[in-house]
Amino acid sequence: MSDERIDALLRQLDVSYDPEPTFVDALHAHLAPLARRAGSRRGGFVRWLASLPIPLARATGLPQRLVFVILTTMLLLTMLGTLLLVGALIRERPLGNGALFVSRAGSLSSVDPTSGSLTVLVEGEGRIFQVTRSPDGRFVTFWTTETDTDRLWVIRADGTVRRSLVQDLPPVRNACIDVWSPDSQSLASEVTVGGVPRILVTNVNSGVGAFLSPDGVSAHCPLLSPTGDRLAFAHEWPDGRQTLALIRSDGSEFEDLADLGDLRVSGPASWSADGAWVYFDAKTPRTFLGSIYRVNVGTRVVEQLTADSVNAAAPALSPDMASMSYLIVHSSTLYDLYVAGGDGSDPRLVLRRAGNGGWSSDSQFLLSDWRPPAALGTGGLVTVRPDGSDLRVLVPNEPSCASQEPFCLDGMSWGQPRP
Amino acid sequence: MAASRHVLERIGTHTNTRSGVSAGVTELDLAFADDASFEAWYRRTVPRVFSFLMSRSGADRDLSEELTQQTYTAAIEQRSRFDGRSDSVTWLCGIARHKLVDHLRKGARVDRRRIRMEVRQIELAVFKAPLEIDDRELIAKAFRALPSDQRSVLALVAFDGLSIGEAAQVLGKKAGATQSLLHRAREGFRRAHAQEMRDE
Repeated sequence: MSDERIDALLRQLDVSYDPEPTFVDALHAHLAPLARRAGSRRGGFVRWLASLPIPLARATGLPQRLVFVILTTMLLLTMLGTLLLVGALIRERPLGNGALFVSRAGSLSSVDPTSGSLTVLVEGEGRIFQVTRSPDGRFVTFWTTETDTDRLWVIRADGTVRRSLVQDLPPVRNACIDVWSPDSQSLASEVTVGGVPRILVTNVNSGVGAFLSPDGVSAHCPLLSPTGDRLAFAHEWPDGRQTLALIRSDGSEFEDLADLGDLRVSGPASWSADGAWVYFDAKTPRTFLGSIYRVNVGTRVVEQLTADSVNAAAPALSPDMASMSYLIVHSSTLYDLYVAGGDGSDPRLVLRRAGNGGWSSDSQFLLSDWRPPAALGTGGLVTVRPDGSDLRVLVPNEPSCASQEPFCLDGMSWGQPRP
Repeated sequence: MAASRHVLERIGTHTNTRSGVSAGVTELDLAFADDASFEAWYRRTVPRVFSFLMSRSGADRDLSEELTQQTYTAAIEQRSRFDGRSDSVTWLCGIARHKLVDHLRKGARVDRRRIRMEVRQIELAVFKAPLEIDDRELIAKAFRALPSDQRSVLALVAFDGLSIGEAAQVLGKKAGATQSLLHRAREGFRRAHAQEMRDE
């Protein structure tokens, strides 16, 4: 008998056999509860996950095992990515307010305050001054000096689309730093036109500027309220006095904010986030020492926040209103960075030989131009916590700059008003 | 149909072309929708699964019933693995084939220990059994007389048409060993069948 014949004989067995009805019924009785339980577990996530390769394999035509391996790999990678993301999120993230901008040696750069990476946006200018970033982080304005006047520019934060603003006026920039309106639509600047310092408000979108301070009033150092409906500035009188004035953003209700006696106000530096207080520094004519003050916009009450014995200047209130940074000035080029409570209490040194670039939006860090003694390095643009910890150099000084006066950085901004 | 709609709503998938069932919903999904659906599916499939095992076990009814139960129990546990590419009976028979091979593999170990006693039992059974008048029964008896591992390889190759390589994979043996086993199985069947013919 051949092999084929054997196989053919065996295949004769492959016919239909009827199971015993009693067996069929008994087996059904045994299986039915199992099937019922299995049916009720259908919605389980693990079961769904385990069965996922089947429809995918069907749809793609790939082997089920390969689909399983691919899905498992993707799942593991997703889990790894999630872990990394969670790790990055729970790690303390300094400087949540986005990029800061610096100008030096005729160039404008954006700096990532987290990584410290620097991107040059503009270069080849003579000098770039008074860099200010809009609160929404989309635009940066700055000034350049031309032959007989200064020019105001706006540029997108990514370095594209640079436009000249207020081309119909020949303003000359003054020393105070421009301030953005809270809605990032306009910019208030101090400019001199016809020998008179005035407050110019420029619509950044249209490029059209208009003077806000009244004719004949010498106005310095504008500061917009948190709601943008009012503007404070230093009002210089013909007799040399300099007081703090207030005006609505439509030009109405011009008034002196408070009777400051013979104090000479340098300019409003910081407006509390609740709109209640304006912080400023002023000098006493007899001693020429400066002090930090604040005036309540509602009650017009003035409070002195630093002692007469120190020469204090350039206050900046933190966005959370809990702290105030300021400088103790030893000379025009030598000053230390201090922090006190919002009411001037508990003053403490943060960093010697450092300027005050204002607060990060989360009130966790201070920006400062730091020029330490040579033994401590060249310094540069730094961030530091109010308690002096976490000092981090973002833009190091060139060695030649560390000892030069004035400081090599021409401008810096990270979206908060700064003194 | 009510059960089908219920499952479709619960699973939330759309209809497709395969056998009029839905794309994400397989025949088993419908079968496990409720008690009535399960019973209908079970009673439709169990004769074919039982027949499959009967033929490959040499019409061993007790063994076929035992393996049928094992097959359905495993099918319930592993039903998420059913991908709907085939008929559920084909899938069930695949499970049944593995159950049969597992059983015969265990049986092969017992065979080696009890070979003498089994031969005596076979002779005794032949002696006491009523005369077989159907050729198919002679074939079945000759087949059942083979050792378990030889029945395994014959079931896979002769009944299911597997190649030597495929049968070797199912049996967990090398191809050469499987070829040798198949040769011995056919020789054994040839002798057993001749013996059955002579006895009749």
